[in-house]
Amino acid sequence: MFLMRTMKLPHQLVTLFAAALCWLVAGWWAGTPADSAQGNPLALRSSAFGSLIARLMKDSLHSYWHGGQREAADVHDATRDVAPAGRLLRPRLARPAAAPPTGSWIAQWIKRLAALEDQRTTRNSPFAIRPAHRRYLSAAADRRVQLAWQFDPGDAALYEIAHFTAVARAATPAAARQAAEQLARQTIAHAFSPRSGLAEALTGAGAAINLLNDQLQPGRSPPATASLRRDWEVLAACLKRYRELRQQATEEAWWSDIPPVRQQEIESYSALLGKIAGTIRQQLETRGILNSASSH
Amino acid sequence: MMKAEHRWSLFRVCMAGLAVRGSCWLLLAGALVFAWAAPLLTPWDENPPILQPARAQAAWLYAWLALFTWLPFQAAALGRRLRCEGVLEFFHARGAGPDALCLQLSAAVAVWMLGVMLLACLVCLTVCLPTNPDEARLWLGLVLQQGVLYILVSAPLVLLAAALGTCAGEVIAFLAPVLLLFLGLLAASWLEPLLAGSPSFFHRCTWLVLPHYHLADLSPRLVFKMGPLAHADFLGSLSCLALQGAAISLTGLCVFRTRS
Repeated sequence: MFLMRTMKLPHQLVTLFAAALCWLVAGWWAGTPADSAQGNPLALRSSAFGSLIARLMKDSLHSYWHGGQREAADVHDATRDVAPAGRLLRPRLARPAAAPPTGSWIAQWIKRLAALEDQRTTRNSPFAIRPAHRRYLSAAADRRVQLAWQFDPGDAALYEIAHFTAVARAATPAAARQAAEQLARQTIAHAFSPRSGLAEALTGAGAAINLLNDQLQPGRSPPATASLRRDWEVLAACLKRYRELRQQATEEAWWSDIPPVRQQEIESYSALLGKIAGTIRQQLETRGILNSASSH
Repeated sequence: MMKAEHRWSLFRVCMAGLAVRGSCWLLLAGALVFAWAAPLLTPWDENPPILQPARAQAAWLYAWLALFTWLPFQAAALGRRLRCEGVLEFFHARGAGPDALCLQLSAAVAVWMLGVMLLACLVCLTVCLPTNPDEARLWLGLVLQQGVLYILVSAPLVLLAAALGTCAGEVIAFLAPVLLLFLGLLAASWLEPLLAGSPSFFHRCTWLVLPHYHLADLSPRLVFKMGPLAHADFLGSLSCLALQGAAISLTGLCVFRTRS
């Protein structure tokens, strides 16, 4: 009745018909899309904001791996309970009485807030996680790892976990190898993108090492020399890019802006990768794939 | 002269009402603050070259966020308020046609949309401008393309929100354009492989009739400095979005009501 009363039928119907026609023609037009977002709305993946999102997602990943609790590193703090993950609530309740808080009232409040936050993520249920639930948690964590890696393909930890899960969940060894190779190639491509940084170069080197390790496994049929040489060159190029960027960081004085903890992480990871690369080079030289003069 | 003044009087009334509101100016100030502050939260200290593209990305991210929140909400609220208070009926009685009233009403909100868009362009063309003159020319072309496509998406959605505000509840008037934008901009990337690659005729048709706002999102080209779209591709996207915009605008004009 309302519609009948308010609509001036012919005019409104013609307008609606024209609207429908426009929409349909637009749909037909979009049948050959000129440029789609390629599954990357607002360019979040692989961008600076993607890195930020990936870092935030890592926190929730820890929670998935530890059955809802925060990461295990927390329990190594001397001021906290050293209970292993999954410990029940009862023993933890006695803790504040045994160790009364000291310091100013601000410190006490901060400590109390921290204790409340600990309790928020402490497992109270006396029942263990059931196998089906564990499978769900594992699958959910895998999905998050994949998503976080897509947001930041230059994150070494995310790449290594994504590599592990891709290999572990594949049905056949051939499928596992294919999945790992695809992941490694994408990571390497990202490491050589124009705006990649120190972390991306090292992650690319890690991916190249994974590719080489897979081919150099003792049980494998003799790998193709060309493929080994190509992957070695990729590894060397990634490490070279890292060294160049590291030098540039010192020269342009932005290395000192990086937090010390992160500096140390980057340095120790590059040292580890350099050591592994040295071992691989020796193996390749032994097999005669590389000349000792040309491999440096 | 008298007629022109008469025709745009509702627009001037709405603009005067909006300009004294703090939230309008906060929206514009927020664009600059967001483009400056948000990139500083990213891990740019490990890789300084990502800071500049992140600023361009943040500027346009803010423009899209405004189109998801403030702009449709303000349009819906304004439409609802003017109709309830009888202002629309008053102007209608003075001789202004409903279509003109609808356009003036949505133009008053679209001015702020243009402000956000211009600030995003300003950020891109000042702090993010490449130093190489040839690259800067390409960058200018890309920013202009993004600006035009953003207007083609947002203007009809603002009109729809304002028109729905005059005939339905505020919540529906706000949510309908937001849902369309979500479908076209964000959900499209998940729906495309499911629907466009499906063998089912029904699925493929569903994909074609969905909004295609993902065509207007040139953020990847801005962030990864991929250069402007080719003319033919730009015209293709332009035509598709213009047609969908026309359809949404015509629907908006249809549902616009002036009676209190």
